[in-house]
Amino acid sequence: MTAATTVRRRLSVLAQSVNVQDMLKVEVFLRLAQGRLRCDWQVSTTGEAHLLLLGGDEPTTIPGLLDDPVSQLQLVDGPGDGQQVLTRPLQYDAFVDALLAVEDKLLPKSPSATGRQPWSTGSFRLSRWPSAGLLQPHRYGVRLATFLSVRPVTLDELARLCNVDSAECARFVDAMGHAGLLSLAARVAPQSRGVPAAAGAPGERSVAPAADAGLVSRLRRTLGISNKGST
Amino acid sequence: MKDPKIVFTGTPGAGKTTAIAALSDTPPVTTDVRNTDPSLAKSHTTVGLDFGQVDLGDGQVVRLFGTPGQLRFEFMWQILAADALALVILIDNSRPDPLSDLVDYLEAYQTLLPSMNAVIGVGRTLECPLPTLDEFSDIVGERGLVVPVLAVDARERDDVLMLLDVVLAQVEARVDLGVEATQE
Repeated sequence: MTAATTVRRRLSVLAQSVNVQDMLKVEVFLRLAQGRLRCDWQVSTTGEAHLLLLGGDEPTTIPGLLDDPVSQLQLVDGPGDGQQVLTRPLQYDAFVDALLAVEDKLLPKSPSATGRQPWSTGSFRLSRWPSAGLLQPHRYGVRLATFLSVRPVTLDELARLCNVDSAECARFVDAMGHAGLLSLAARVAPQSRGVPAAAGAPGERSVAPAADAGLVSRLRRTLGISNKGST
Repeated sequence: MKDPKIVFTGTPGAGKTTAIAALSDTPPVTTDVRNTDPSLAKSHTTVGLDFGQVDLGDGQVVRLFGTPGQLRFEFMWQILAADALALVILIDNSRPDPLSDLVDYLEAYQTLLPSMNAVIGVGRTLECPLPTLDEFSDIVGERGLVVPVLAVDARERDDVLMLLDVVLAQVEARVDLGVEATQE
């Protein structure tokens, strides 16, 4: 790795009709997100735009902009509809995810991201809980991430456990893998017969001896939580 | 066999009592007293514990416990969480240092959390977007743990159910592993 000598590409957020409060937030978020981003991002009100952030209802006019921005987002007050919208108050995770999406479009994919992925065949689990922005695009994102947070599973196991379509599971796992949140794992050794399973790491003790699948089903039914989750 | 229990813990004012009330079939037993702590913007606060229950209809109930939030009651936190089916940690993001609050709870439950079904619900994120959920996840990750971190409004039953859904999914994942083990 030559990370220390790598020149980071400079990218711009062009803010138009964005109020002072949101501008300050954008600046703070850009500083906070430096470690997560592969490019050096700056915010400006004129010039080049890789991400165009629109704060008002005015028609789009971009001083000094010749090329189309890679991405365009509208800041809205109410609940937003669609992928081109960020809702106020501006949320860090959603904003950074928009920047990451632009980077994905502009930067070449790493070699590991172009071929067959290691998680397509082996067992894997999450190494960290994903950001809200990473979960949001996936209908069952929270549920899938929850199963992946407990123990290593294969793609087939995940689909069966979550009761979610395997193609949807694959899309989710792929997104987590590209975000660097998956760790491949050797298969967990089977537990002793009749002993409730412990967490991912072998040898950990269970603290929920009363748990069984029937209890969970009845509790779900009583509370009105489907087995595809409440989210 | 004892009835299973789910424990709600977290900072004062984070909504533990409210969350239990949203789920309990019976009016929850609370031990609230008049609040004398000026840093808490509420008239009453829990000094003992809250208790509610969900009747599964077959003679079995799931008990819901809420711990007192104040750090001086830390000795009760682990006692209540022992043998719990799940732990729900609620954090109020409008408090002065919510990340430090989370650290208190991660440390208090550090021996249980690696194998416990647990979720962290962060409240008041709309009014107080910072620290972000990502920062909470970072703190959890620094301890080698992967615990779901979700934004919640404990006054909304759907949000409380979302937290329950997450911990129940964790139970399912662990139970399934046990089932597989007996088949191999």
